[in-house]
Amino acid sequence: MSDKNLNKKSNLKSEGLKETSDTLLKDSWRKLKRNKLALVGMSIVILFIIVAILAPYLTPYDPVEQLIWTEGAAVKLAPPSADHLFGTDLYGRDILTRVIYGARISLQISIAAMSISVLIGIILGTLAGYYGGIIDDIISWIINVLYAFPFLLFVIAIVAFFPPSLILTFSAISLVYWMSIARVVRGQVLSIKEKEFVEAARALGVKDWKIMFKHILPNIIAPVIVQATLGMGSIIMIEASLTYLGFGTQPPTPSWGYMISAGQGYLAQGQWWWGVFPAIAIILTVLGFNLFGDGLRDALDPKSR
Amino acid sequence: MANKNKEKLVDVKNLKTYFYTEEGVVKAVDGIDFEIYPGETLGIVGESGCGKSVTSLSIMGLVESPPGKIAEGEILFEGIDLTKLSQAEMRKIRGNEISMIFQEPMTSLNPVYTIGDQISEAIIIHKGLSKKEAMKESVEMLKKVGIPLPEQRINEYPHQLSGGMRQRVMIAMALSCDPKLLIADEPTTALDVTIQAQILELMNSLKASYGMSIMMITHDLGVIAEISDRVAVMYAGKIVEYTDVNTLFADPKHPYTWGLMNSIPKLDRDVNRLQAIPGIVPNPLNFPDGCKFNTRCPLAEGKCFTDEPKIVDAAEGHKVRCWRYKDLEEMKKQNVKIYEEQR
Repeated sequence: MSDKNLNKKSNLKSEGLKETSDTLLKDSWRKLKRNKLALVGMSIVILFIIVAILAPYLTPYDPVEQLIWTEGAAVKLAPPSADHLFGTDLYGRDILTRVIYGARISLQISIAAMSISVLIGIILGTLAGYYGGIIDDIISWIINVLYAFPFLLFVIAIVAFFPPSLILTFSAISLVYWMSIARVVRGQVLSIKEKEFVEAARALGVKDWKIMFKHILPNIIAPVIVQATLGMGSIIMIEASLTYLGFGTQPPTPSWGYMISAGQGYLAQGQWWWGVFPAIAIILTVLGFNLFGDGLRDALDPKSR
Repeated sequence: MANKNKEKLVDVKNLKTYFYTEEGVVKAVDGIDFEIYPGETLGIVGESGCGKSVTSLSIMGLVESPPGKIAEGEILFEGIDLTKLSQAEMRKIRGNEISMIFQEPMTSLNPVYTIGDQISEAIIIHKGLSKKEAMKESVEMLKKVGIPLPEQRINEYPHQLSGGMRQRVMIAMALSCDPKLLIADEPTTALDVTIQAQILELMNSLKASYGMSIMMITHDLGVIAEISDRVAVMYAGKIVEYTDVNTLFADPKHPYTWGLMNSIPKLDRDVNRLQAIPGIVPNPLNFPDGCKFNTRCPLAEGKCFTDEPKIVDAAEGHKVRCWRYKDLEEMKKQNVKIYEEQR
């Protein structure tokens, strides 16, 4: 169905206007620009990335240095002020600085976890979709079994066995996250491999692996990008949840999850800034990735116009 | 039939391609024999589901397995039995010695690569040329199939070309390695009539200059008339009539072929209504006993319902699979309309 539409459209185009080769990109960008929410999402994502990269240049403070030893009790849980825009925590650390550095940790973990997930997901999803039969049965079975576990519990089960570290955190997350990519890839490969150009490639004597990764993969990359973008938000959430529960990033490394968990005890006493600012950071970032991902989905979908 | 003396390029003997599904065995191709001589065009004509596409996929070794399988028979290509070759050996033949073009030019090209990338792929695989040399060859190929401004076109994407242009590109891809046999699976069905004529003309002229053979699969008798030397008419997985194209149109001997001829409007005859073959192709899981055509054949009687006819020589170089082809002959002489006119 979608193909017919696509074909009709492209046919009309080729008869009418002369077009340049970057039509899809241009077209997608035009659609994305029209979607205000997606633009907001994209801005948040870009801001998040810039902040994470430029962290040391954005703040005069050190994220782990405990100022109470040098500046005394005045900086212990101090409310937001001109010096400390987001206030300070129990040890006199600037909360804005820690939120900024926290973005770094979140970005590192989510990019690392997502890269591994996409890699595993694409390989296994493509194999399952292309070959079908017993290979598909085995991979689909693994995916379904993993899906049956509560996501967070499964990660905790893995993480709890080993001493906590950054590598362990993102490895554990990708170990359970690849399947959502694999599912998308498998479904797409199933539909693309029925296309005549795949049959035509076979009729030209092209090898299987080349058909999979050269002819099919580029055609399914758009939904994978969408799924990965949406997934970045989820992974940031998972990382924060793990850290909140004490399994993820360990103090004194600045992490949003840890700050919320440490700060929550002081919320009721009125010192809200320790927990609330990192929470806002998480909400904004996740929201940003979701809005951007949703917008991308619409923009990269040739059906919507 | 001067061809008879030449060596056969393709010799299909008792080919049976079955699909083993959960509902039962589908005998898509059930014991067919035909041959293709160098430089000739064999047309295979039939309704959808008669097994003509499966025949071509069997030759290419592209029958999806499971559920499909060549259950019996031989496909001799220059004396080598293709059914016995390994996948790797078949890959060397596909696109090189035997090429194929498909029905739907809209989806036969990969939307993410340029025309040049796609034509040069086969050249790189089979001729071992560098990318740069292959691109030069691609330009040459585009010239041969009559695409204007080939130097520009090789850098364009499929969506920038019209359907007819895309089919030309497909032909360029298929011919890029000088195949001995080109299998064309309904190459003109998706095109409008003027483009159809151009493509057929192109195939005819390329056939002459390349000296290759063509196996043309179609449901369109007009296409058959235009391009074929000999024709095999298929029905329900079997060849029911097999002869040269002039004989087929002048003197169809099988009631099915006769029905097909009568269902085409003719410009030179004043007819109010066309005669149509009643009914539909039987379910391949549940073919009737006896002749497979007996559910629709107006001549079917007694023996037709119990025994399957063998394919026999009705005349020199004219094979037919029917118990009553001689009776049909008589009826044709007396100008009896055996099919009812369509209402």
